[in-house]
Amino acid sequence: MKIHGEARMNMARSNTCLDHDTLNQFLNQQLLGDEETQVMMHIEGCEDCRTTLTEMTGKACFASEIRDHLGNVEVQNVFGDATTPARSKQDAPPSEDVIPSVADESQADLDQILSLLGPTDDPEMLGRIGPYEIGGVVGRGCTGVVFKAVDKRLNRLVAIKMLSPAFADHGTARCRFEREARSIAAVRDDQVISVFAVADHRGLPYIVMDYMPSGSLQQRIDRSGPLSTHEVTRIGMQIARALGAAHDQGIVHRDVKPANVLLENGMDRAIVTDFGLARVVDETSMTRTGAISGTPQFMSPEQARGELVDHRSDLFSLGSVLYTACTGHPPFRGETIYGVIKQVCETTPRPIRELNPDIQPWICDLINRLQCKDPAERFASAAEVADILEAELAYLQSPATVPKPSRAWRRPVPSSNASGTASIVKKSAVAVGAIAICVAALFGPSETFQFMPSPFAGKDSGEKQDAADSQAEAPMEDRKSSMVFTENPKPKQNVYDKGVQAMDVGELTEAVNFFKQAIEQDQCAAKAAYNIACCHALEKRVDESFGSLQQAIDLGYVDFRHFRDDDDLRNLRNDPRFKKILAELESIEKVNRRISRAIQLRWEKKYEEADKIFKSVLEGDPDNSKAILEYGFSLHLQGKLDEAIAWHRRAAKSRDWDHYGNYNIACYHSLKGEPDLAFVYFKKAIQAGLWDVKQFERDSDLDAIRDDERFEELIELAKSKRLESERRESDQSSF
Amino acid sequence: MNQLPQTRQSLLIRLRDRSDDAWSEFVDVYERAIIGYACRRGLQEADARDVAQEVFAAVSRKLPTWDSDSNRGSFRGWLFRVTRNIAIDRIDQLARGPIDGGGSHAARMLDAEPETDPSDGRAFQLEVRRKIFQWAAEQIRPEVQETSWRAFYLTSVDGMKPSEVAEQLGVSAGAVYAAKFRITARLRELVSRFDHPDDPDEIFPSAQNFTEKPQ
Repeated sequence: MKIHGEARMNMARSNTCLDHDTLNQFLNQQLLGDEETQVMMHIEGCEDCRTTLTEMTGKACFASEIRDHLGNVEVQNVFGDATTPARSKQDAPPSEDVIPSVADESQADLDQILSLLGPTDDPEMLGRIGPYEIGGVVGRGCTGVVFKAVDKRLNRLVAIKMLSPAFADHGTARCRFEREARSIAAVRDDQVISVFAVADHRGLPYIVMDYMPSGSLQQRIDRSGPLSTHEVTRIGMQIARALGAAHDQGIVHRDVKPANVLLENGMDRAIVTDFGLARVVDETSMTRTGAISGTPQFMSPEQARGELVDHRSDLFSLGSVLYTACTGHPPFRGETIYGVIKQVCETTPRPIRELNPDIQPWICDLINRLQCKDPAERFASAAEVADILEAELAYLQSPATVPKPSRAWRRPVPSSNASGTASIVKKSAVAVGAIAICVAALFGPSETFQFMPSPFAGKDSGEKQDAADSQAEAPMEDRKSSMVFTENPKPKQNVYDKGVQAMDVGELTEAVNFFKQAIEQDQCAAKAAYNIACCHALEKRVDESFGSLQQAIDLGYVDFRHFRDDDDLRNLRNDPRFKKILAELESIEKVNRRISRAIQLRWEKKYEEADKIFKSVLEGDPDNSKAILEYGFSLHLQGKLDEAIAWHRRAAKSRDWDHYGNYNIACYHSLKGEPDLAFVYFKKAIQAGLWDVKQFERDSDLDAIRDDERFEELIELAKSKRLESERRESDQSSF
Repeated sequence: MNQLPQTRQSLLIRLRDRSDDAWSEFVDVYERAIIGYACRRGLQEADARDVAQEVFAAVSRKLPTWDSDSNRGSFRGWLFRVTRNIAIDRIDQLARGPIDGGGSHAARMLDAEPETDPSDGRAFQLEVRRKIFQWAAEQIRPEVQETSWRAFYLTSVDGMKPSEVAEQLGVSAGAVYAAKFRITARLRELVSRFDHPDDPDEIFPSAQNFTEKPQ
């Protein structure tokens, strides 16, 4: 028997059980708002219906599978479920042994290690360790040495880390070295250095690892100074992933610093190294000699104080690493080790944007939060940080097509507060800001969509979007420090915000009027259209609501999930037009996701796979300009310049990607030794809205034209265009 | 009885239709199980990865003509046999090379933990199953609101009482039940994509009802 409408609502209130159809519709979210609430209330009190639902969604064994398989969702133990992941060091009994001091004996130590190498018949080599030919020493630590070596069987280069002889007879150190090695081997992550083997040579344990010929993040910063937001996001995401994988195995790195982040291929891939050895040292160094080995600059306060640490200590260090990448300098500096420790424990570092105004505010907030002195106020896990950065990275790459990340972890910035508070002293504002962010986090993610006025300019270029972003969302201390030309901000109430406020108090007609003005003034136009649709939907003016939804989509608001889940749209949900819109948006999102995946593969230099995806996207949608642009770039990176140029030309003709398309053509001509043509397209790119001066100065494709005086002229043109746009944005902004 | 709409779409069938998404799902799920198995047999990671590559190559060659009858058994059973054979080949191949202490010693060392599960095949299948669940969870998580996910996780995985979860998350108990049931249903739908109709339950000997057959 089917029960409908009013009857069903009564049933829901009563004790009579619901029928299968209703429960099924409930599971599939096909009920309207009121009905759904009724059913929810009913199942809250009706055990029989819950039993039915349990049966409908899987038997007891399925429930136990969920528990077993998702219980440790992050634990990736390739050695099978039988082995227990390595436990964190806190579980180990404290060491009673005395570690010999090695600081003064390092040279003697190295000689001793070299004397232990086995004989080799290759005159180029220093000696052998097991089957490995040792080519040289590439690194020294307190407890060991790192060799570059060749595995002759597989003809591959490896790095071998060997415990120093000084620790050879130290039972606990040895045991831990070996156990650590096993657990690192268990951390299988693309961002963690691969361990090929663990063995020992004449009583000294060693670890055989992937050899990474490229430099560290520290070297990169020393050489070329601060990184861009984009680069920091990409590297940060990879470090966070690596730490997450290690934490899941119960390993706390404890020595996260720029020197321990290796960059492969310049920038594309970041790998975290030096797990474990640090731990053997740290465990005893403070307690025995009162001195700290290594630098405390990247330690967390709790670690610097010598307290027990957990994974959140690594998060603090990650924050310090990212701070360094953004500014070029470590956040805490001092004359002495104890001076640094005091700084780490007590002071708030200088705001990043005072040192590098190009860094976007959201990442400053993220770093501030990582660097909270109290571990409980940092993010809960490295995985969470990685996820945030991943979403941001996708957005940075394709601001026009990827929905803006929710940034729910961040302190919401109501524009009404932000307008008239220029008098706050900068320093205290930072501290307050950091605390506010942490407090906001305690309350968990909230639906902040309407409180986060942000331009959703789907048609704008990435650069324009970034400039707007820094304006609209910067906490005030950041904005103040960077925007020299907004010294007299005109507090102008934003009509979009007024609309949101009116909507919040249920003044829907008024809200619609404000949003209409916002669209006219091109303030968050797409979101304004979306919000108008919500207002109309709440008023049950279905046709008008659909009109506005379509307008929102046309303006570039295509967040599929938001359309699907927004409760404000519940009155549209059963309309076939709504389903059609959802289907459309879903397919857009799917394509975008595939393109993002292909871009990711391209970074990993898996060109073949990446190109396959690009091509298949283009097969389905030959005019997808994003795919055209990215595919062309992929061919370009592979050196297939003549194949790539056709795609660059098509991208240059597109509405959304003309700036990058022209830039790529300029690169092509530069590489081909045709400077005149290169400058023509370079100028077109700048005029189309590409102003990334740093990119221009760094891009090796442009080496051939960089000494030309026209290059300087165009750089100046780009700078002035950027400034002009920022000024325009700031005039339009509500702040 | 099963009241859920069946959107079952066998992965194997989709693989045969050469869907890119299906292939990457497939690799995603099986790669770790294959590498894990190869490592348990004593191979180093790089070699284990090679084994996985070879297995995938074999799968892509075999798929167009895959026929469960003529192969007498399940796809997963076949996949495991292929994996085992390729891994053994690789071990033999390495053994013929000039091997000094390092590699084999390392393999022993990495394998030193007591093997409580004597059945390779079962460990392999469990690992696959585990990965399928994790894959499904990864698909669902971005689809739902974070609060719903937490409600599901806290009740279904952490085993907390719905009333406690409701209080902790600040939602009604009904909403917690709704999240729990809906996500469970979706999870089962996704997990069932990996159940090939011809795939007998033999591969999960300890729990025949892992794969619930719709009526």
